[in-house]
Amino acid sequence: MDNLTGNLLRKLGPPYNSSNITRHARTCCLAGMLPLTSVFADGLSAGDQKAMDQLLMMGLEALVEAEVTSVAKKPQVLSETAAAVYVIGQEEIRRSGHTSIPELLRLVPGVNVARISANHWAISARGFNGLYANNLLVLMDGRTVYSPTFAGVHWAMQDTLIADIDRIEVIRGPGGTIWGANAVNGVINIITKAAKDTQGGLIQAGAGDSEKALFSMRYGGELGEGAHFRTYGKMTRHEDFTGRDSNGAHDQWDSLRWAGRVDWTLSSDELFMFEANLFDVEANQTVIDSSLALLTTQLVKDTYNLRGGHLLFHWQHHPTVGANWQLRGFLDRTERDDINLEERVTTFDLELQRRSQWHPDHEVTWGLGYRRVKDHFDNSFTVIFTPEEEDTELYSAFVQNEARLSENLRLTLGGKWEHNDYSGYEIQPSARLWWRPAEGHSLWGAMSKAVRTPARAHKDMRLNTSIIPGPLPTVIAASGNPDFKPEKVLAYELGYRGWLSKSLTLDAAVFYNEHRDNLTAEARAPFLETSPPITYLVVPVMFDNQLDGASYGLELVLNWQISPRWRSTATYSWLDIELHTKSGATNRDREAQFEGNSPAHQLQLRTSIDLGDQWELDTVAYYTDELPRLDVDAYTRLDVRLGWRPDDEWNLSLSLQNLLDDEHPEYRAAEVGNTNVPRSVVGKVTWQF
Amino acid sequence: MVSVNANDYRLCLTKGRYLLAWAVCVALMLIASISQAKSVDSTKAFAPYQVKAAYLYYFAKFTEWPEGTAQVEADEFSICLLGEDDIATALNSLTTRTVHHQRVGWRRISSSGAAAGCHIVYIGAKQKEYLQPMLQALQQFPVLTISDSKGFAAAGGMVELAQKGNKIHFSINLQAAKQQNLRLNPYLLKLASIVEEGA
Repeated sequence: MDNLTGNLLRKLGPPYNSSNITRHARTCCLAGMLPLTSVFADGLSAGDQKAMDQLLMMGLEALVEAEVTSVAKKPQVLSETAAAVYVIGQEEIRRSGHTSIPELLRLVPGVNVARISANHWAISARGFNGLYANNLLVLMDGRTVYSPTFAGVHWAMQDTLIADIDRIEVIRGPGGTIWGANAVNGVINIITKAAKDTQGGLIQAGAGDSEKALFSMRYGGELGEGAHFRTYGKMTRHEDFTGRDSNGAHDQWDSLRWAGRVDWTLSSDELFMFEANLFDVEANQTVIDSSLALLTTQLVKDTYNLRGGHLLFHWQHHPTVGANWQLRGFLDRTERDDINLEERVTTFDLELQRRSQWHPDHEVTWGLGYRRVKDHFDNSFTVIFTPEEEDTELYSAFVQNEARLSENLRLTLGGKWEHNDYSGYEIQPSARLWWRPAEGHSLWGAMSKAVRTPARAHKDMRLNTSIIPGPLPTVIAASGNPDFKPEKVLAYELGYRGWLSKSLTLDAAVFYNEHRDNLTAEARAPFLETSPPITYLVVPVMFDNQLDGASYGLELVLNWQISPRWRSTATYSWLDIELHTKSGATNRDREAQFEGNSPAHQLQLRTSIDLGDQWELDTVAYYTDELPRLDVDAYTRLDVRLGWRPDDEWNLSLSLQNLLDDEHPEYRAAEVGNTNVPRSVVGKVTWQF
Repeated sequence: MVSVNANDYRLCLTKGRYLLAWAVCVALMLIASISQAKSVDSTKAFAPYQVKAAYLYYFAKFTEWPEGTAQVEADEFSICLLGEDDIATALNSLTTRTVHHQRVGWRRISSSGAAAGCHIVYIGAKQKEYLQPMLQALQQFPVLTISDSKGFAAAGGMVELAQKGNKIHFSINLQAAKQQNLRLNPYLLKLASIVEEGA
């Protein structure tokens, strides 16, 4: 990637003219659900460069025989998107040294990644973080990976072969019309490479102190005319982190995963993809356990299991440039067992999407979706779901029209309609405007409404959080509310993207979110309950929607190509949340809680240097501001990675993480035991053949 | 610092389900590698826009422009793109190359007037409405006209790119090229799908 940018810059030369900027600011993309590829600053994706080098060298006779990937994809250039987008490209992923998806998300400006323990993360964008943070829609190849039980993500089970990830696209702010409910503060789409791009064998082995071991094997081949497959197996083992508050850590975990994928080129216009996956995660945690027999609530050491798999298919038909039909469906099964709850969830989802150009200046995209979720819970005294089983359906439809008002002005209007079994109909409209005042600079603005529909836990869950013994024992119970309303956000955003100089690009976004009906928990009238032979008083603290307010902030990304072999990136985000409880609410605590569980400032400085043709040095420094309410100090973290690529087949690397501290806390969750993130080292060897 | 305990690995492998899972995994790999007869240095497939951009380069190499024209006198070999097209992104990779001792460059044009000094004008399929007027206007300049629009060659364009199955072939309207005194290397003619002599 650095050699590539170097070539581009050498071409620029005097006089520096503006048409060069546009040229270099354009990248090419795959069509589909607004996915965008490539690195904005490079102008030409690494994939394009490699392909073109091959094509320009092979000769005309070979060119006539060269196979094309069927679909004429409509390019959606990153610089023309009216949203706060950040794409983590392949090179960035590889050189970050991170070995898991949640850790990779640290690279995205505006996204707050706080590691609660070795296997729990609190990840969100633009505030409202927590173990069960549920304001980000996370997708893997278009498949939603959030748990319908609490609408958040079990990050320990979101994994794939990191080398198979093509890019991670993050859109901060409401996902707009195409994405569903819960894309309130952002959408993360992890896109893996097509099978034809992962041919041959790959073996990766790694070892370290925290990341004790990791081992993956992948093989890709051809299945005949126009069909390619790949399959991989991956195993990871993580050691305990460092205990906090004189508690032991108890957060070691292992994971095992297998996946297979087939891509068929059915005809010159049609593509079909099918994927199957199985995983098994076994992890340690510390959780509260309320026992009526012992009349206590204590923190206990537990081992929990996450098991499951999915089947995913994606069919695309592109009859002409700019028009397509897509059908995507998945069947997902997740089983989670811990000391308090056994959970089984099966999700079936089907989506149809059509994009077409009904006028030279108008492109319309519309879609229909259906989702069915069946769940089953085995309760304990601590966690109770009523009813134990449920079968829900979700219907959705969206339409979006992009109008090219002029060469440099585009207006996108759209709306998404959803009907879910919990809250009935929801409408999420969105308006986005994109304007290019001059070559190499663009401004965009957006206004959207987003909704977070209630999850099972908000309505049907009862969590007996503590038992106070006594003649009449008292149980404090966090309770779901059958009338829990969806949380709403009205978001106003503005952004700028442009070239400040030949080698410097700036991407800035500001936002103002109006929040309504945010989650609170209100004390309700206590009542007596009997579980023979014991009678006790239950003090319910019921979920409610008594919080309103606003959040606003700013995100900046500065990319500087200092020299062909040296690239630097700086990102900064600022966030302020001001909430107020509605009059009549009893709980005033939630304001401060939500205001204080995301850092006000986050800063990141990254440097990538190519030392010669074989060596790579990457350093990242992160600064995350304090979380005063959670008693977590501000911390600075430094990661360094040294990579060696002696040839096309071998890649060795040594990553040192969290160099500046022996250990530091990043979050304090109430629901599970917290540990400190220690200094760590990981060595990896990758062999591709 | 790196403390990998051999005992841990052994423990890991002897855990029942891990062993089974790995056996399955390794078996799959073996089956896959045995069934793979061809060499794994596989035929990568390209995006259509990449192949089309590559075609522009080869046409540039195998065409000769008439003496004394602005094209031959210019410092740069210009490829002009009419309107938006996905080919644009791949054209950047051509700009490191040299053809006929001229550095390759590309730019967008929106009118035939701007095409006067272009060596090649590429008209994307989306610009179908502008095809006829554009071809008429370009008849006064020694410009090699290329497009992936269906029926381009029959309408008077010089080179038409068409996707057949999963390959991209090209047809040449030799008459149109001769009219501008553009000399196409016989090698091109040999590899072309159709060579139309009619106007």
